[in-house]
Amino acid sequence: MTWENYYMPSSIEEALSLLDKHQGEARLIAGGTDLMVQHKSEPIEAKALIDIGGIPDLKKIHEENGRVYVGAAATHSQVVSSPLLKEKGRVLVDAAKAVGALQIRNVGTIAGNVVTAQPAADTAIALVALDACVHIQSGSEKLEKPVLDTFLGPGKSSINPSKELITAFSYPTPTSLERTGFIRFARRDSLALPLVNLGFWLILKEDQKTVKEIRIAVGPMSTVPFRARETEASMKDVQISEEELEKAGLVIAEEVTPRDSFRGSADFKKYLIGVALKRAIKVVLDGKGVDWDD
Amino acid sequence: MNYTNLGKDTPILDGLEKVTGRARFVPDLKVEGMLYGKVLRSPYPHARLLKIDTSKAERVSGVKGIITGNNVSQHRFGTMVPDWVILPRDKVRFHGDEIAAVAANSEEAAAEAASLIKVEYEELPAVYDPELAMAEDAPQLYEDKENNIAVTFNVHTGNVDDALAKADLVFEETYETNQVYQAHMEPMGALVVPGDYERLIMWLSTQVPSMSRLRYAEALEMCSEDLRIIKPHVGGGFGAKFEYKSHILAAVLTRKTGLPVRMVNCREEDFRAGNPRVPMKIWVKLGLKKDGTLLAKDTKIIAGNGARTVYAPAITSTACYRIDSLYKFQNVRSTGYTVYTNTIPTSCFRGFGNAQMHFAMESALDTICHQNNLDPIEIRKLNGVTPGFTSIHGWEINSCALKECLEKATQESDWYEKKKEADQKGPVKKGIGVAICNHVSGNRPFYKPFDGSSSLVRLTPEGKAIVFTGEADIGQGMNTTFALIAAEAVGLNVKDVRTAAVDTDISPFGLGSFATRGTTIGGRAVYEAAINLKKQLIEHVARVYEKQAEEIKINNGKIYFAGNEEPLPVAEAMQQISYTLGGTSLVGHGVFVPNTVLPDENKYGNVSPAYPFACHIAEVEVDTETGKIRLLNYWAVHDVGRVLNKQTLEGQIEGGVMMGAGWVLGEDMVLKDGALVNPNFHDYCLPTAMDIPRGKIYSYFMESDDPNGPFGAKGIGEPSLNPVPAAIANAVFDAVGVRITDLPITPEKILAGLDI
Repeated sequence: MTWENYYMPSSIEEALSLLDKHQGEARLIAGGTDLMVQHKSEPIEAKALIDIGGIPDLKKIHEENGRVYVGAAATHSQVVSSPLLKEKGRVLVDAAKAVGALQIRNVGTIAGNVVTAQPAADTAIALVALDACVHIQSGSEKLEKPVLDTFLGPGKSSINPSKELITAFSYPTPTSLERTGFIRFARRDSLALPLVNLGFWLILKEDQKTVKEIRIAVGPMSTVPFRARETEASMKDVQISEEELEKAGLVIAEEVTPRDSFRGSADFKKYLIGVALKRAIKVVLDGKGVDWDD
Repeated sequence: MNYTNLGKDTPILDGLEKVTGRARFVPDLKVEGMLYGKVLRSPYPHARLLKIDTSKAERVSGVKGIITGNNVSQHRFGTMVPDWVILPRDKVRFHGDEIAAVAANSEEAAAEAASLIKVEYEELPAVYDPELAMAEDAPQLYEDKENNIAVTFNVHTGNVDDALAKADLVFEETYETNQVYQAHMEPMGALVVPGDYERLIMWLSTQVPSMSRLRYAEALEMCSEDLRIIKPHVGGGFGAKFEYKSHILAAVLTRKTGLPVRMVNCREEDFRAGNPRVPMKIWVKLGLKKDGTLLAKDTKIIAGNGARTVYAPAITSTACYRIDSLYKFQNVRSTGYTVYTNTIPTSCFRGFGNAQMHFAMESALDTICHQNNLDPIEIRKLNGVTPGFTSIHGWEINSCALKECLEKATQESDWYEKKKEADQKGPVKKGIGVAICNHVSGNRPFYKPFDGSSSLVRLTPEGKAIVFTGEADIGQGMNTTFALIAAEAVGLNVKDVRTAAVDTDISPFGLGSFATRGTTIGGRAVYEAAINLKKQLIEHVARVYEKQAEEIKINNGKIYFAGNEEPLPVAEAMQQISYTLGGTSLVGHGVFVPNTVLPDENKYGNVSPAYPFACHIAEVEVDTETGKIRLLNYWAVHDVGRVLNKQTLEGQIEGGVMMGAGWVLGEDMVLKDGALVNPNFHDYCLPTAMDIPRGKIYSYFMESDDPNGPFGAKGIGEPSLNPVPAAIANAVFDAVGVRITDLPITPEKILAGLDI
């Protein structure tokens, strides 16, 4: 079966009323970079597709009342070139840079990457590190939930694209003591799934050296993006140094449980995630960007 | 020598239509009433076929014909070993082996019908590793092939045992090269159209139109003259696009249905049943004097043939002995086994076995130098062949700028300074490595009856020249090279010359694009034809304009007479000439038969009219924490004989270097229980533009002016890749002291080598 209609609503209301009208038989589509590939092998079971890429309100990236908002239909390229995010969402910018190739980044969206729920989707890892809140509308109902809660399994999201529309992601604007960063290692420098990827949000104490709190999200270490909570706890109140980062690297390598694949052995990925943690934090503290994509 | 057309940057003549999407490749071709072909492939690596039921498939709307082993002839044929049948009746031998083919009026109907063919199998034990396949108790693929050995190659010249006994240094090591995919942009395919007089017209994506015609005539039990092969634009071949089963299946379906059939691989099929590189395990033993003089080479090679023979035996023999003519060996012995396994049939891939052996040999020399404090540049100068040298196998080296290549590469890369650099701080270490290579430009034993080429160059009444050749442009720019050669030889401007698409009804026989022979052998035939045309043109100009032939010169599209007389455009002269000759064009005919011989039983005999050489130096950076290798700079210095087109030479070098880099740094066809795990471009990681050297690939050309090549030119296609794996492996060793002897060099192997 293939769809009969393809809609391009121009407002959130219009998109919601189209969803409502089709009673679960329409499906939202954003960039389609995953969906169209999937459609080839497994046709999309929907009578209509509703393309949210033309809704200006869903493409906005802005700051409001101490929170940063990223519209659901913002493309990866938009994120990469956003001055606001460069300053206040580095982890998301660097993750978006890593997605696919330029052509894919130009159409693929942040929400799409969350709904397709791949355990190592780069921007999903970044959003988990930011502990972003997902803003969802379904009919007249508005709800919010932590992004991590939307991942149910590989390719499985709690968000139903036939009923629910993600409008935005948001997170508290980082203070001057907060740092975020992202790193990934892959078999080649673009168009490759990561061997490992890691995003973090670090809150420093006043001395600018000691960890007050850190959130670390990694992939592909589980069926969903993984929060390395043990490692996070082990780093609390630690003054960052080469030695401490080495230690944290060992902790995270123990904490994660990746699988063997032809891309790399589980042991290799465990080891690499330790290097990733060390490097990601080091480059950000040094005030440099990550250089895997320049 | 001043050339009008040569030595410049000439964009390929069909570049515009390619970049604008107008150029038509086999998958773009459509004719009235055309059917779509689809192959049903085996889901098992080795299985007996018990029953094939096509009844359900036949009922699919739009299906016009289905063929299986039960309704096609079972005669055997083949490229080197008669182990092909059109479709098998007895068993399938690899995951992807052809079982049946369907022709239907849509791709969807063909695919659906193929999926509805019911096959009963009896699974058989399978073997994937060539070395294991040689064991006594290994599953056997063919009853008449003991120990699964398709072909054994042996050569022994001099006395290797004696020389090894006398050597100061004896080095021994085992190397392994993996299976990789050519990754041509255009997948393999054919369009077959029924012609008049019961002929078949085959539009093929092929690098060997004339040879395919002979082989397909044999397969189809037809006279080769009843097959007309047309080669449109081809989107790359790199060795993969020789004779191919699906072309034959399309032809059988055309004969069965009486309708045109187009059969094009999807990318997954191209991976699963293309003709990937021959994997090899290479044992090397070298004996040297203290000063690095090579005394003896002893090698044994076990090569994977896959489930049927394409060209792997020739590739194995090349790996066994071609490199013996890079160095001044006195004693060599080599045994090569080409062994059947239940895997994808393997075949030619840029480098043709010589690339595999270069990885082994050039890595070995590097280790020898390191262990014995010898200079890796000097050892190659000391042993490398020189102009006028006749190698141990009777290969006559005419032009040879190997020493100059080494010197230039050393100088441009600042080799000795970089080698001196002391211990580096931080986790990322730099390293530099060298490798050299030889190759052929034509290979006499490849096609047993002959090597050589012929060409026609036609000058029209409009003053335009058209080159006819059977040699195949497959995207590498041969048609532009041929046009340049013809233009220069006649005295035309290249913009007035084009090369016709190969059409066996019109073009001369051409063996095709392989063995780096296009420019040297095909080009020399074009040169001869152009010279012959020029002679005719001068005679006719002399006759029509009442001049002395001796005083006529042709250059850049103009005819010059003695004295101050205004030059005459060729177009104007040709018009006048044609009026006097019933409107004719002038046709030059040229033949080139190289002075090569079929090697005797001791493999002695000069196989190529010219031998290209190169020196490559790679500079890399290795991250000792992640194992990641990054290319920094690459210097490729090639003895090309003569620069005909600088732009396409650079293109070949940059392409060859990156193709080699992809191979050595990660490309790998991964099998699990005989099935390919990564049959797509997402999981099979070719390098992208992001993976090219951070600095640059520097190309330099040495013009050694070969006496046999057109204007002295030699080939470039394969030598651009041959030294790459070893140059990079040697640079990696220089950086971190880890010697990887099995390809690819992965981060995991580097870390293991660093004991991390």
